[in-house]
Amino acid sequence: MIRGILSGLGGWLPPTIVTNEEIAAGLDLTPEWIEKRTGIKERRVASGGLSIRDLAVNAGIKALRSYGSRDIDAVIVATTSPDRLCPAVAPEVATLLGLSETGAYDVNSACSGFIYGVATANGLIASETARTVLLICAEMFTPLVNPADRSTRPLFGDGAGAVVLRRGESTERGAIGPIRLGSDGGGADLLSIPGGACRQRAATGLGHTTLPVENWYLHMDGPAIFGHAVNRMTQSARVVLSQTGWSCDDVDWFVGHQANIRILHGVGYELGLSKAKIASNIDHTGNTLAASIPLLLNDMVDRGDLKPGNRVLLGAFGAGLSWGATTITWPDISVERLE
Amino acid sequence: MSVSMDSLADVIAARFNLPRETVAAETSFEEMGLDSLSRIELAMSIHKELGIHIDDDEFDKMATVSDLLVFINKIQ
Repeated sequence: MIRGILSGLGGWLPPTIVTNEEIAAGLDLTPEWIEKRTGIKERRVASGGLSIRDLAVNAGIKALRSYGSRDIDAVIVATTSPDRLCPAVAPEVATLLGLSETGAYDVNSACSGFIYGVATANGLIASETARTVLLICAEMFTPLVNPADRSTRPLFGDGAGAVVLRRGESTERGAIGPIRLGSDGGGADLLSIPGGACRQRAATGLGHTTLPVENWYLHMDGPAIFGHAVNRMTQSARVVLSQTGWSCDDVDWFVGHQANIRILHGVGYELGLSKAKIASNIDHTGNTLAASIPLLLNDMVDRGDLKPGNRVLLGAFGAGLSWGATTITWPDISVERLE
Repeated sequence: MSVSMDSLADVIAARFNLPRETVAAETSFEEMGLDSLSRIELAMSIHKELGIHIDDDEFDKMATVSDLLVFINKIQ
């Protein structure tokens, strides 16, 4: 059966580090509280004129070097924080990567963006629309978070991760396994940015003088999201594990979206996975939305933690609400350090 | 079937890696260092280990292990 084979991996973090101490200072929090609540110690922030286009190109270059070729049939950028409402950023990114004329589009599934992006890329390959796909997950979400909101300000960081999928057989190492996607629009308002797009523009025009400033920033019902995330990531993980024919004992690594280490521990608890199998780099990245999984995979390969043949469970949950999971037996690929 | 204090305390201690002897009837969630997310984690553990579902907003009305036990046995 034709599947996408993960054959290249890269990632890029912007150089500016923001610590818990700096975050806590303006928010009536302590750095220790932030770390205990989330697992985060510091995060990167894109500054100095950087944009999503830049983050995506930097990660894409590294993924293409890891793959060893620029023979790409399609470019997908998964992002929740595009440079502009229109157009999609992927065509610009493709052109800057020397891939003009290549099919290119954006996917927005918030923190589930990598799984949805992989599903999309795998679908292009399986349908023989493309032989190779460059999937870049790029996020610059920190400007969309209210600096005065103690419930959201500490959580997010900026960064980009990218993978190359090529056409191959499902029996190959690196083949994307069964994929489970899910959504629940009933929870759309639990994690949203109300203003700045069409619904708000149609109702209140530009809104700058009529709407409170909070409309332009992320709103989050943290406890509700926490419960949904653990439940849905657990459910979708069970489905793909069963479809893959793996028990939880067979899993070497659970690589989950890095929103909060306690969500991942909750999923591990429900599945019966030991904490030693729960991968994380949230301590120095924060929540980088769609970019979190490829950034973590890059870190793990770079550290030598993730080895060829390792059985990896991937899972994510995000705004929408959306969620997804898949499995992969890790291939033999090289990566560059994130920075 | 009613839940015993020992069973509930075992679940709490295991879930949060607390010394078992520190989880007593009148121990408060605050004394155990549990925050609002911990209450969600505890609700999930009670559901998984004891088969009992507790809504998140019910936890807001409870302060101690004893309060939780009374509530659990009332809804059984």
